[in-house]
Amino acid sequence: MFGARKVLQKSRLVPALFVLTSGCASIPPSVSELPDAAQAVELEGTPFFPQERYQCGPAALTTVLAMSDVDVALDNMVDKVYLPGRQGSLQIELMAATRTEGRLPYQVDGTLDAIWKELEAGRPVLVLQNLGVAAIPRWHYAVVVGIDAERSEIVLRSGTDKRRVTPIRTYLHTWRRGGYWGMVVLAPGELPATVDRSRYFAAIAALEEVGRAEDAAAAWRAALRKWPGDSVALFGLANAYLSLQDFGAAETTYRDLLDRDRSLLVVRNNLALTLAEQGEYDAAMEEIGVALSANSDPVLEKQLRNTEATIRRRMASGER
Amino acid sequence: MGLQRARGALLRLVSISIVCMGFAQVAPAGVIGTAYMLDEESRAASLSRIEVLLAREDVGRQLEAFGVGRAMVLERLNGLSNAELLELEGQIESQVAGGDILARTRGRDGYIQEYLAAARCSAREKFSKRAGWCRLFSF
Repeated sequence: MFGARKVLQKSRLVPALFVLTSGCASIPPSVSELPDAAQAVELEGTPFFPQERYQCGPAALTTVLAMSDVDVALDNMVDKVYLPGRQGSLQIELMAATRTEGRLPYQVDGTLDAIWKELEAGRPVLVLQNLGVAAIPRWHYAVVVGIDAERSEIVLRSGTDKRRVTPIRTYLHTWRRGGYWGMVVLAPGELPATVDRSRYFAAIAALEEVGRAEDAAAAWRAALRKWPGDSVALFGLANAYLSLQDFGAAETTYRDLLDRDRSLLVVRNNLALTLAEQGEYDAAMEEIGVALSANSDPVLEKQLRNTEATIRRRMASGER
Repeated sequence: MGLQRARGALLRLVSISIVCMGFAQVAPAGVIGTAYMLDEESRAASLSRIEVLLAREDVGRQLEAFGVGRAMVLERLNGLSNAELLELEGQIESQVAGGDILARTRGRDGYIQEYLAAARCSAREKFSKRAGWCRLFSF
């Protein structure tokens, strides 16, 4: 009895919560505006993978990967991104699986304009929607394949709907409650249509961290075409060369960077290791010595001392 | 007591060595990653190798607890950047998990929910223009 009363109380509570928290913060123009001349665009060739229960994440990711020429079976993608205990997929895992398929996941700006520009470039956008309300969220991944500003409609591959047409306003409210989150899948070397330098660079650095050095090298080269001489991009490219054991190219690139800016001690650290890899221990010790005497950062100090010890160890075993 | 602790430590060591399997050997020890130059302030950029392994172990255990098979756990860990490992460490429960279905049988329901959301919003916006109340309630 008590339980029933509790449920009743709850059911009265729900509409109240609805009103209080469903949150109709209006959509700012910066999110909803499109260029005046925005043509209607629809990527009709985007494949469709109807989702099984709870599995919109794998279905949506398989869709955008297929458009980037990655042929992967939906069942395999379920194994890679579906989390049974949560009956869904995490955004982070969608990005991680993109990397292991040899692609670069890039989080687009949270604006309709950014989505439209990606569509214009031939890339559908994987988005997170919240189809419930704040108090009872229903998180859902879908793929935007078309926008028609004149008819104020957006076209999605969603759930079991091959071509779901939704008014843009409605879509924007569900997207707002999804944190305006969306991602595209880029082939390494491809730039997003609207690019934020530090977000794109962080996305490439993540490729490096998961050991995809060749993909990272291609992406850094593309970054250098857009931002010629950029220190971070050059450093990233040199690090990729080092991972690929192309020591000559790594050394040249690190030296090039130091010619531009002698104060880059992290570069000197990696240059020293590159020299040690080539058996040039004296030169390596000299570089790390220069870095140590110029450094005042305690965190970096630890790194530099480690490198010094590594070089000494290698020197001892190399000369034996 | 002491024995139990030693056993615990041993098990931990074994499970760490399992997550080491397939762990990308990125570069020689001591190489500073590009993320460090991008964001010196971030903790992820200056993680030591052992910290990364501990985070991998924790995230791997959580994935298993949420029903991912052991063989897939390793593959799934291999795509995660250091910053992502830190974000998931002890946190998978609180992450958004997108999965809701819009099946044909429930499609109408999905549509209705969407339209309701939009209708509610436009009504509220009109109301707020007159009274300015909406701001009080919205977040």
